[in-house]
Amino acid sequence: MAGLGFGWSAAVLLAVVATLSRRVVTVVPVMALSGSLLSIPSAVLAAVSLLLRLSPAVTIAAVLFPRIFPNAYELLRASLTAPHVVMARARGLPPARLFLFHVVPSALMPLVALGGVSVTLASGASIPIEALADSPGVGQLAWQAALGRDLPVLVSVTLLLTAITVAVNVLADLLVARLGRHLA
Amino acid sequence: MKLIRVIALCILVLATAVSVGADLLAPHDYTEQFRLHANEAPSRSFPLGTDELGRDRLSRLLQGTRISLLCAAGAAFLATGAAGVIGLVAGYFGGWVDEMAGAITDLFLSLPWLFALLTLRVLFPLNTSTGVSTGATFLLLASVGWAPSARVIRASVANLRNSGSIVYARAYGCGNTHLLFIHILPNLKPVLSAQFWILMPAFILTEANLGVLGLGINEPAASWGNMLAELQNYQRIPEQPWILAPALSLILVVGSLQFVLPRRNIWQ
Repeated sequence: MAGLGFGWSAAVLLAVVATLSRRVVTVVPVMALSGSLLSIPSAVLAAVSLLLRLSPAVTIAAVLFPRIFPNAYELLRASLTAPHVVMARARGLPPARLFLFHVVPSALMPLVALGGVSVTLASGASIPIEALADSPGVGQLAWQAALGRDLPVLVSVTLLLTAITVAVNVLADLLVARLGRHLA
Repeated sequence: MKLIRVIALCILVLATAVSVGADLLAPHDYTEQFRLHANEAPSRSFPLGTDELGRDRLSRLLQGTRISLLCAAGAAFLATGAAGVIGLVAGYFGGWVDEMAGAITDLFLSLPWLFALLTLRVLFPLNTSTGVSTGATFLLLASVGWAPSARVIRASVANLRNSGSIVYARAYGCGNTHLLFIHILPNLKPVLSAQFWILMPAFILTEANLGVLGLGINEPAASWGNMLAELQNYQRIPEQPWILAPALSLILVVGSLQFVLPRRNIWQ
């Protein structure tokens, strides 16, 4: 959960900064960081994080960040050029008000929908991270069960995580529907 | 940006050439054990040092590049094929076929990839021959990874089905088989190709994670994944940084794929 929180916070924060600054100096380094992290297997990230004495939550955040940031950035950038935002800017709305009340709400619905997917990603990343860090958790349990050929435990854990994923996706869908009604 | 794409393309061509010519380029046999030189640092005879069993790391890296790249491509081809068949049938016929295919796709999309792979991997014996474990690893990847592509292909087929050319062809009396294979399938080539290139890096990364966990391709075969299993003793990295060579090769190839290919769906 902490990893999910860190990953989302970093990705959304940097996406907001990159969208607002719209400068190559800001966007390119963050894009490069995101692209590099996307090319590294979570197990290698876990080994490097352990060497640097970082917590497993930071590693999970590093796995999630490159999957959330480009989407958040693209959504915010697209919202910035939406007709209603251009109109609001032309009418002289202050930038902060424009961003908070017109740009963010447009990008919010797809981001909420992506929230459900990030739970599956975080749980997948937890296996190599917890295995290498030797930290207790569902990932460690699944790895030990796989090495011990304990099929009932593995099937139960997989089904439990599938149920959690479905529940989070249903919640995200309900939230999106509610937001949609609210924004309409 | 164009320069970066050219560099990325060169890296990919080089990696493919290395994987194809691994036997010619390797200084030693990748399974040969030099017991007197176990865990040795890089030298003229062993440019990337040796592992715990005294095997030449460079030879194993070259062989590993071949297995990881070619098998990931094979698995991506299989997964794209399966996704193509399911997406084509579901998108074209619609109705209960589409609903059933949609439900199966949703089920696979909800499965946490690595957990599902571990569960399926446990069904195979741990001590299998190299060929069986290599085939099994990539077959499992293909069997779990087709779902996101099937959804994209299904949406493309559903759009195409109602396009003018297909409606005219149907009005001229073309049968379903003719429509599917002569009119719709050729139009799907860009979508299928994009899905293949999206799946390939995802499979390379997943194989690496499975390998680190000791549940990928079995020894004595070499792959980027099982060479990275040395990272379980991550404390060795500062003294023996060359054990990260497979990770660097993998990162270079997967990173290059990101630059060369059209915009990827990173939620794979």
